Amino acid sequence: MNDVVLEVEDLVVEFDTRPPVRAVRGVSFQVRRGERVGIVGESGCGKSVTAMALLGLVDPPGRIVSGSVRVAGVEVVGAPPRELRRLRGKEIAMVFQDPTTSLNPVFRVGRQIADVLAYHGWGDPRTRAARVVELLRRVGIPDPERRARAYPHELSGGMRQRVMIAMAIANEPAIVVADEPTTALDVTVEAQILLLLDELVERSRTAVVFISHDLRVVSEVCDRVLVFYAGRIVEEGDLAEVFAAPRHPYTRALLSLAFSGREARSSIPGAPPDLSRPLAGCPFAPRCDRRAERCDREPPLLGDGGHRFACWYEEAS
Amino acid sequence: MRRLLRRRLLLLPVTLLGVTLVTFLAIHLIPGDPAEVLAGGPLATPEAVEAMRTRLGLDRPLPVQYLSYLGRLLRGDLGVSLFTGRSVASEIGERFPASLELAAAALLLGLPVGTALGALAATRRDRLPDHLARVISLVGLSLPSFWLALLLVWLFAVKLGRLPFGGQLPPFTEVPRRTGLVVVDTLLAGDPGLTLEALRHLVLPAVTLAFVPIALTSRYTRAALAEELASPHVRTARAFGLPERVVVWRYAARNAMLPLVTLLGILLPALLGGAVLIEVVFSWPGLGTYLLLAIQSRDYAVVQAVTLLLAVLYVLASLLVDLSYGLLDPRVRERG
Repeated sequence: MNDVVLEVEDLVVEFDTRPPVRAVRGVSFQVRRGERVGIVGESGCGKSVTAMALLGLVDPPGRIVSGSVRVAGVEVVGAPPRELRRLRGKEIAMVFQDPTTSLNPVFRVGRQIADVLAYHGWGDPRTRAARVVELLRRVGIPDPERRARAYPHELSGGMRQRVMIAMAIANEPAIVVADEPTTALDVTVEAQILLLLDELVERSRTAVVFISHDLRVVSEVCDRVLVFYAGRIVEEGDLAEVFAAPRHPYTRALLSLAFSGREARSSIPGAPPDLSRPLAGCPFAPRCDRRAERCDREPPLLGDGGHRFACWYEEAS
Repeated sequence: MRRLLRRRLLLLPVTLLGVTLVTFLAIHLIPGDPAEVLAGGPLATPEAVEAMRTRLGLDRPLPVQYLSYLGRLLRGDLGVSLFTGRSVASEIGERFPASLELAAAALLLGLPVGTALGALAATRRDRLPDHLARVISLVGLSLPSFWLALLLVWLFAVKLGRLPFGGQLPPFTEVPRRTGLVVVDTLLAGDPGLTLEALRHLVLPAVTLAFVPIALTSRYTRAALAEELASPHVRTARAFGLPERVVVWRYAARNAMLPLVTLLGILLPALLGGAVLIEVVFSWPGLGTYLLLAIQSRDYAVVQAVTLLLAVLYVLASLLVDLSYGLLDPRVRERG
């Protein structure tokens, strides 16, 4: 099991607002080397918060209440800043949603990538400059010598996201976390970026945690999928298995939305539960068409095995 | 960038023309009459006042007066003081260095202290440094400068007797005038003891004046830096494991500097002309005291010339600000 590069155990994240919001409620999963794991769910289900928690970067008023996150064997929760700094950008790197605001507007992109190398002790200035050009070439940026000297605003959205990806793979991390990396881009560019991520992972055996609200996107890049709902994982399994035979009603609803091709319904009826309150039963029960009496009383547990799901109904069947 | 420069330079004469009109009208709007003052004050006979008015050309219609003022201005003639009979240009030349020295000292003191205070406040929000910065800037902005001046004089000059006040040098000392900046002149004269004296005289007025830049820059820095520290690109820098000092002082500070440059453009001319009360309290022979005397005696030529000078400084400073924006922000450079 030394193949596991990311291990999350019973992660709980809370926001100290009034009232406090428990955004992530006991999430556990593992990611192996070279694996591509998709995290899907509606907005507010805790997927982005989980992503930030993987880097130990939950900003106040948010905080990790309990649980454990191990990146390449190193515990992130409660780690001293120096330890976290050593992990971030080196063992685990992040690609953010909006490359327009996520890059610093007043520094040349090459410099920003070089800084990521430099502060993790990579080479000297000259070799770093060469490495930056090579990275830009690898992410498919034409004329990389010149583009390295460009400012972010001089590049297109797709190019900027390629720069972010170059930054993410600069130190050949064990894991790249991509939080909605194509949501801010148009569809043709999205396809190119997905292809790029795919290629890079193939080549380097880097694991990717791919976060998206879009199941179609996830289906293109992932081997395994985690379905988040109300701060919990409600279903987990191999992509093909989950997509072919979804067990949780929420997954089914998401899938039928994504692949029905009908424009009539754009979301699942009802709203996710209020995460500032404790949840007695199944969080999806109020929106579920198979709701039984038991669903309101006891929370269903995520089972064991390769294909796990948290639903009383499916358990029985 | 070049287009920006050209546009701003073309606009410059228009702005300056507007400035001359406003200063000209403003001085004629305030009540009082230099002819009366010159003819001997309230006791002067109406005939004497009238004669004086004719002699000064003040009996002509305002537009005519304005045009002749403008004509002289274009020839570089700032006019003659109604009271000393000396050229206003040379009088300003004598006074300006003292103000410049004071403003520069206040800025050299205020900028680092203000930015440091603001940065401390932004990185330690709602903790002691933040509260301290807030109190200092509140004091700096809300206490009248002359009151602050008197307070400092009372404490450091009277009570503690540590610092001199009044003038630029001890009584009956002089230094050969070369640059007009006393600190520099004493150095040029090769008299370090006197330089020390000049600096000691500079401390109290400069500290008093520095409260304004300290207050403004610390507030600006705090707001700008706090905003940058919450921005997505700073989150990126942190997510990639850059050390916090690099994140704050390089990645965030560079962006936060932009509004600060604007502030600097406003501050420098404001400090040059805005030290009137402080100059009066400290008997500082600068533009402020000069302007105050001129206003009191309705010395039109002097008031117009000094106001115009300050306005020109404002305009030039804001031009410099725009240009430096281009240097600091690649996005502006591009758009031009």
